[in-house]
Amino acid sequence: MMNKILSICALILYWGATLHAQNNVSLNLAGEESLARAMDKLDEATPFTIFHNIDATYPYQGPSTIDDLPLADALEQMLAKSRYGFIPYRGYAWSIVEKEILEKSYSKNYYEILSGSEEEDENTIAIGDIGSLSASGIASINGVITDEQTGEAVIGATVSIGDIGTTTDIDGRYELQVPSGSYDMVVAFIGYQDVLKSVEVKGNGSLDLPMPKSAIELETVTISGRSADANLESVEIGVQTLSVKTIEKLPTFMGEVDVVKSFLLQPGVSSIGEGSSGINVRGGNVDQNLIMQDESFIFNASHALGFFSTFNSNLISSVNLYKANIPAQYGGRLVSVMEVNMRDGNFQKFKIKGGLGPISSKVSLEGPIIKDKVSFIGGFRSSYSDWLLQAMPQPELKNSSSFFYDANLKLTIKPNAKHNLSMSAYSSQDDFVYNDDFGFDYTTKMAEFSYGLIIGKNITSKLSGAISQYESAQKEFRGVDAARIRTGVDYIKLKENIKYVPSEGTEINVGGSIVQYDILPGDREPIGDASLVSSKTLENEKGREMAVYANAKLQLTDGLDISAGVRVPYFQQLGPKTEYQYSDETRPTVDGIIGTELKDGTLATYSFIEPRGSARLKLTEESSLKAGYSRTSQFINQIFNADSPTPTSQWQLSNRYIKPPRSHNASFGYFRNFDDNLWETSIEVYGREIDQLFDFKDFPSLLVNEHIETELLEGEGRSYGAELSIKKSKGKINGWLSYTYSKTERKIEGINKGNWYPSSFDKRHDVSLLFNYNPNQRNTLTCNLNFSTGRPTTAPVGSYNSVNGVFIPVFSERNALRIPNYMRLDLSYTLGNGYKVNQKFKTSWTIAVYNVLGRRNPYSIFYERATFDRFDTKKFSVVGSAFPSITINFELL
Amino acid sequence: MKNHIVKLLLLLIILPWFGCVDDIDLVLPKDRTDGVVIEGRLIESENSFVEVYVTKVFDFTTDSRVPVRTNSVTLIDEEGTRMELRMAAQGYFTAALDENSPIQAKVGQSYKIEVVIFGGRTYESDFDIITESVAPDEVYFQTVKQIIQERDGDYREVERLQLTADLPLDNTLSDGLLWEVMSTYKITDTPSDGTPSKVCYIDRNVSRNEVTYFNLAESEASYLSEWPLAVVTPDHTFNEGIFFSVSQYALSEAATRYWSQINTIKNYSGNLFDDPLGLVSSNITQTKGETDLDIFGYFYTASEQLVRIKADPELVPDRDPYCPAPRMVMRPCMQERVCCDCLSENNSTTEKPNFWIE
Repeated sequence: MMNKILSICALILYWGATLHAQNNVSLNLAGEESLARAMDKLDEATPFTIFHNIDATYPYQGPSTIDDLPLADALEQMLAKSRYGFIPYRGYAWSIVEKEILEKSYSKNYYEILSGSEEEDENTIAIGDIGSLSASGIASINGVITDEQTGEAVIGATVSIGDIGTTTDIDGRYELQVPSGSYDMVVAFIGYQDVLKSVEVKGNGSLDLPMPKSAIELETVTISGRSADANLESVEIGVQTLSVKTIEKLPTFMGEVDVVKSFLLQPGVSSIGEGSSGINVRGGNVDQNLIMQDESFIFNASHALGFFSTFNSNLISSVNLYKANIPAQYGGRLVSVMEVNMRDGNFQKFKIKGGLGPISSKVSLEGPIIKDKVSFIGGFRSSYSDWLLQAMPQPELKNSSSFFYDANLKLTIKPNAKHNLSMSAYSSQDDFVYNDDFGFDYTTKMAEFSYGLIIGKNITSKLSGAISQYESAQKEFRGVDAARIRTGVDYIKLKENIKYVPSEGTEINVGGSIVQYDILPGDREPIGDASLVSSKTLENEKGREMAVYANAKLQLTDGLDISAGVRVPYFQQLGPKTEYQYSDETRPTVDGIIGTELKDGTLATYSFIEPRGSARLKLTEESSLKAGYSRTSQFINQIFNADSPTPTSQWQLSNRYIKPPRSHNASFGYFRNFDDNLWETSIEVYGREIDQLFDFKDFPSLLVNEHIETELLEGEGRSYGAELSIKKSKGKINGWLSYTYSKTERKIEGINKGNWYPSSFDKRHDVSLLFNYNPNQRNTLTCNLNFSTGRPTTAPVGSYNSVNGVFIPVFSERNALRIPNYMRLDLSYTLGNGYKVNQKFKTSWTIAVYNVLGRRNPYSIFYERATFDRFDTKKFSVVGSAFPSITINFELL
Repeated sequence: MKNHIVKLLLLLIILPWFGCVDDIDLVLPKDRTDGVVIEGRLIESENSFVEVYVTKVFDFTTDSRVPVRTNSVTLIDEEGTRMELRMAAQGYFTAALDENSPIQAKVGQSYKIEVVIFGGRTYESDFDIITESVAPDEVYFQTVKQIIQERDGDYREVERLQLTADLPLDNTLSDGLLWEVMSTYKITDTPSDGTPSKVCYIDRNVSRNEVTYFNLAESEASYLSEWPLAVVTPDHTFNEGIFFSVSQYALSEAATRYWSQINTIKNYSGNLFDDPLGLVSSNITQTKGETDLDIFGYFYTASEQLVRIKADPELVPDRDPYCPAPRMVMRPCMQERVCCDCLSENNSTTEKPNFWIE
């Protein structure tokens, strides 16, 4: 093989020499010590261009004079004793390249191109030019893969040039490092026709390619959004990705597609029950998850007090959950990051999508404003659940109402391949009234922009900004306590990320971000004339969270990839603010207040160094080991004393007394695929230690409390566990089975005598089964089963009477008991769109039954006084029966 | 076929949705320890007194509360004067605080108790100060409507009587107010054995297991109008006249916190938004002896403002003059629902109370 290459080289060099024979050169190189300078002199002495990248210190070891020699002969003599060789390029240039590369890396095609001997083919796409080619002969090719019809980025498409391949990122971008030469380029993705192109790689360059949809309708296909062996190949550990199409087929409560709750079927993700807002990831608090909608933080991602999420699935492209190692690009939360990526609008044509459900409907419109350049997408979802409440027999439900809406608008401008600007706005509102007695309302308003720029070869920039306002209120309408209590959190965020991809397998991200918070901790206003509640408004709390970070993905050896980075956050609590002073600052109490002081400027600062890293060692083609570690900190926490935060729970910035929680997170996993990646199995173990954590005293006063630190107790936390998963991602029958063992505990002085105790979301065993049956592309039957250990609770274990006869229960130590185990079976059937690609109006139906077994899974435990001074312990189940629903989705092209 | 689809749709839509409440048996922790409860109060009033109960925690393994073998219960004032309480019953200690007693109850003074039980285990409460309050301007009845669920599951609106107060507030005097309502009703029996009928006066604790309290520290209001004290169901007790005795107790800051915690527990319904409950705080600590027993309970002081109101029998329709049948006499006592022996009722006496006015 080597001989063949050398023969080809010799042949090509001969052709080159022949082409340049009429241009002889004479040169005096006496006393020249540097080969680089000798080449520069040669470049000046001939009409040809000599490309080289020789180190200036490399010695010149050739003859001292060149006397009227053809250029090829001159180069031959000058380079004879060096490690360099030469190759001609199309009769006007010569390139000086290391001999080793000449012998090993360059293909026959390359020499043909360089020598200009190859026939130009009209069907061949030329990429780059020789001027941009590095001395190594490796060219960097990048581009964007888009949907031919919509112009949207295709995420996860496989792009191969010759034997070298990669997948497109979230913006549809790919980047490959290939030796110059002629190749077949293949772009493939499920639901699209393969794109085959002949390309001639001359140097660094770009190639954007649109992908036509396959004859089979895309929407009937489950899009994996990842390559078949991505679980083995990716460096990151603990990343879960769900496609919207998968999410939309899951059986849901009331037919509402719930992006956030869909992750409950994944190992390591749980919640404390129906109606709780948010998710618990590997034993973390709900507020320890960072939920991102593109570049914005979402402080409350739930509608209807936690029954549904705020994301309109029509507008989402993909959802990723980093549950183990948070990349250095993200910070400010201890446990996980959920990226909800919104789609760009269609750049080619207009499209309307919608869905009708039992309690809400949604519609979205998208299309081009300037074809191929500017597009928009907008969506609106609103509830109309009052009819259901009116149908209830209980008068208190008849007198209740529940309403929510959310609206999105996104504008995307792509003037050319180098620039990408998007601007979006989001608004949502919830209003809930129970029996004209009490109620909640909360709103989110948000706007953001993102500007992507290809700065140069292999370097891209992304500048983003967001402004958001979240306000919530809880209301009592009757009696002397009638009042409205508001809290809120506003922020402005700016972030810059520079991505550099110097070579295949290497990616470097550096950047920084700044977030300015303005928080309303509490504002109380009386409602009605009968109210005796006094007005009270707490001072706003301000803080600034800045961070710089860097992260590099490297391929150390064949099979060993690492991702290593560091994030350095710096938090400032800002004034003006009245700060309480305590006799014992380590344990602030109401009785220990010794004074107050109005302070301005910076009141408290915290700065940390947070290393983040993960590594993947590929053991075989079908197995790999992964490990990861991250240090995280959190400067804004939610104050809640219920088992789960409500949308009205106050957000609290770190201050002098409330220190930011910090955690160590470590994971290790073994991944093994079988049968050509048809089956994916994995086992992951994880551990987390939180060295600053707070919990609440018994009977804390949390509302409109100007010295909230007096209600908190500080301690530490830990969680660890193991996750086993087996998944079949293709075929008529597919799905997954996962099992999680986890333990989450806290140790806080003042609670349970300072001993370790389980947190409220400590669920030791959790089993999830998802079963999909796709007899054909159009029909899907989905079944999911979830079983988990009952969560800890604090319940009465005894009682006594006060002197005046009031019955007082004696409660157990905190979380000393467990509610019964949770089990739920759901079913759904989806009749997808028709097979006709060009059909103008399409419909799909999803019929689901939530909690098929009608199991009354307890959410909480309470007691009622019974006869003979005993009490009956009761369980409260949020969903007490099987709950069917029908959802109709339509699409108008 | 079309009809079937419509029916299916209707069926899917109208199936009920609501949360459910069911009985549940919890597995209690095995390593629970025994507990002692010391509950006491000192009331400053026209007839000042102190009372203390010393019992075991009722842990559901027995059918009744068990008094704890107690050596002594002592009241101590802030000058260190000690006064031992007499045992009126097993686990119950009391004493009148009049001009002849070593300690008198005075507003602005602090008091605590010391309890010595078997084995020399000694417990002591924190000092609690007696605060005062302004008496209510008026206590009266209002008719209120309540929705109740019938046995067949239907809901029905019914009328009830609400004992209501208008009162001035002064948070410079005390931190909280607590109300208790007792009723005393008159009943004339018709003995089935031919003995002469008699008139009884029977006491009932109307606010038993109810907590009516107001946190003055959290309010800037100077007047409380139409403050609900208790809701009563008009029944046979109104037939021959009934007095309601409303005791308004002024609480210290610590005692207000204690009652606030109990109030939170009473209002707990187990729904999604309720705060988790915890152990009600205690101001009793052990000072001597083996520490093998958990200690619960509270000692507080209060000054009392007493208001009595007589309910007009016209407020309610005539009801059967029923009272518990002596020795389960079926006929006519139980079957015809007449009162055969009014003394068979608890807290019943034939002695006319001194406040009773016909």
